[in-house]
Amino acid sequence: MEDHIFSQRIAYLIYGYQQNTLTEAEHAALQEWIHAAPENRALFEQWTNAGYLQGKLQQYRHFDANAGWETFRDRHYPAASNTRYRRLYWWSAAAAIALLIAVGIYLQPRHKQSPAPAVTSVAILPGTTKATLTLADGSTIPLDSAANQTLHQQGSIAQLQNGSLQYAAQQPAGEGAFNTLTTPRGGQFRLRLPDGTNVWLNAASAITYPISFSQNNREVTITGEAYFEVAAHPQWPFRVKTPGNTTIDVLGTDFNINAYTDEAGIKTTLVSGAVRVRSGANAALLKPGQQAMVNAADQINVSRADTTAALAWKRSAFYFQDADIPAVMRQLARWYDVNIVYKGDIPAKRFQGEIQRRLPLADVLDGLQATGLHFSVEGRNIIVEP
Amino acid sequence: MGEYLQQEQVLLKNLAAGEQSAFQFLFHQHYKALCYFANSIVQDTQEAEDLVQESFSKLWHKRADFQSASAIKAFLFIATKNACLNFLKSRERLTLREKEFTYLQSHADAGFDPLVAETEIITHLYNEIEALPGQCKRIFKMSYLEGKKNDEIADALQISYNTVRAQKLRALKLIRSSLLKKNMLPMLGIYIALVKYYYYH
Repeated sequence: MEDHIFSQRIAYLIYGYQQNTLTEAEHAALQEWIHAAPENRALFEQWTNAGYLQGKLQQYRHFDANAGWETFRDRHYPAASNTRYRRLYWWSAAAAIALLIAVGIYLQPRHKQSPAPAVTSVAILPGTTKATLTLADGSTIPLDSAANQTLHQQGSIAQLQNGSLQYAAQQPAGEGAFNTLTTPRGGQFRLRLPDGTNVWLNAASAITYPISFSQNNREVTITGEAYFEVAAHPQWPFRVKTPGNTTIDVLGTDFNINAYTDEAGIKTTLVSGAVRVRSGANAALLKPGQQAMVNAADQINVSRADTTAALAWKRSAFYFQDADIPAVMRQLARWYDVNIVYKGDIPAKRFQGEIQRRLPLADVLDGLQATGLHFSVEGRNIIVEP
Repeated sequence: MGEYLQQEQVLLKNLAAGEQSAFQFLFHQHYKALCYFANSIVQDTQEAEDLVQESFSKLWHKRADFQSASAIKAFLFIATKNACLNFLKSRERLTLREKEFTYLQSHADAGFDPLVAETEIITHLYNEIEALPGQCKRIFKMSYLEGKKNDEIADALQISYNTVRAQKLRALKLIRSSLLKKNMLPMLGIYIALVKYYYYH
């Protein structure tokens, strides 16, 4: 009996842990139990493994209480069996109600009343293919995926086709006028430069480039995040400049640059080929699969890259690896064009996982609420509550 | 809690008197959990159900002896566990499963039975699913417990794909257990997990 109560107590702590309803004292008690023996830790990991529990629930579902009861009743209440069908309905209804009451009362004192999820039904849709092209004279042209058109400037021809802006291969010439392609929050766009280089521009980003490159080098400037597939021309260096002092010299290659000014630093992730990252007096040569992080003091830190993570946006996904809440929310803000408002302390939670970028915001917030975060939506403000 | 205590007294009185209603209530409350528990030991669903029937028969004979609902529950689990272990011995099937089981028993805290705790956790989770409203529960079960795809569910219930999806989202909002939700999310294109939670206090 005592053993049984202790086992139930542990079950209660594990279940409360899953529901995020443990008090600090209960959390401490659970931690103490987990650390008491390696077997306990193994059990804890098993009982917090979603796949394991799903399999067990499928087994649990197999057993039929009504059938079990009928077998028992036939043995111990033979007289009642004759009237079984007449009485079955209301007996099971009564039992079900009694069970609900008992379970309800049993559970109630243990839960802080959890508020109904506060996400309203305002449909905030994911970002789309859109951008603005700014010409050398300052005039702007809105671009989206719908209209196909052709732009002529100074002998350069650019085609807008299926959500991508493609400059025709240039003639050898002097450096032409500069264009800037800018994506808003909630927009992304593809660009082919006159040298054949392909660029994917993430939301809230911009790239400035000449409509024809000079014969000596190819130089573009970006803000925000872009993925480059640089056309290989060994005698024609390609260089990407970012805000601050960081430049990337490209030696024919595919790579991603994340240079959002609200992120911790400028991250260059190399997929193939080679690039040299320079910042102030520092420089580093990257090999494929490496990432260079440049901080505000121009220091360069090279590490092994998770290219899946760095390129997730290009295959329409958010990817989080040990990301804190602000890091998650910054990505949502850019893609859904929303503002993030923190009410009270920001919970110190960290996430890993992947979320499709094609989902409406409400679905994404539902998903995040499932991990114990709380949101409410007011217009385009997402309020994050502890 | 007053109402619960009162209800408990009624249950104990009816049980002692051998009332059908008391036994039927106890079947609905414990049968699935006991069968799950027994099946985890004997690895045979039919045998598990037979052994649980025996436990309820033992309860029938001792029905006048109980002072609390938790004592009834403990009795049913202990009787079932003993019956399962006897069954395994009688069959001389000291299987790997039993070794594993006794191993866990001897190495964990004294007085702690991991299988009792696991049964309790699964029961909580299952009751949470059972508490969902009608169609929402049906769709969640078809998806989560039967592994059916959205279009299969839509066909079977003669409803639209979007209704299936909407009901799943509704289930997600109603369910409190993060782990049930976690396995729901991939169906919605979301694979995210809390990896750490620092407590500052």
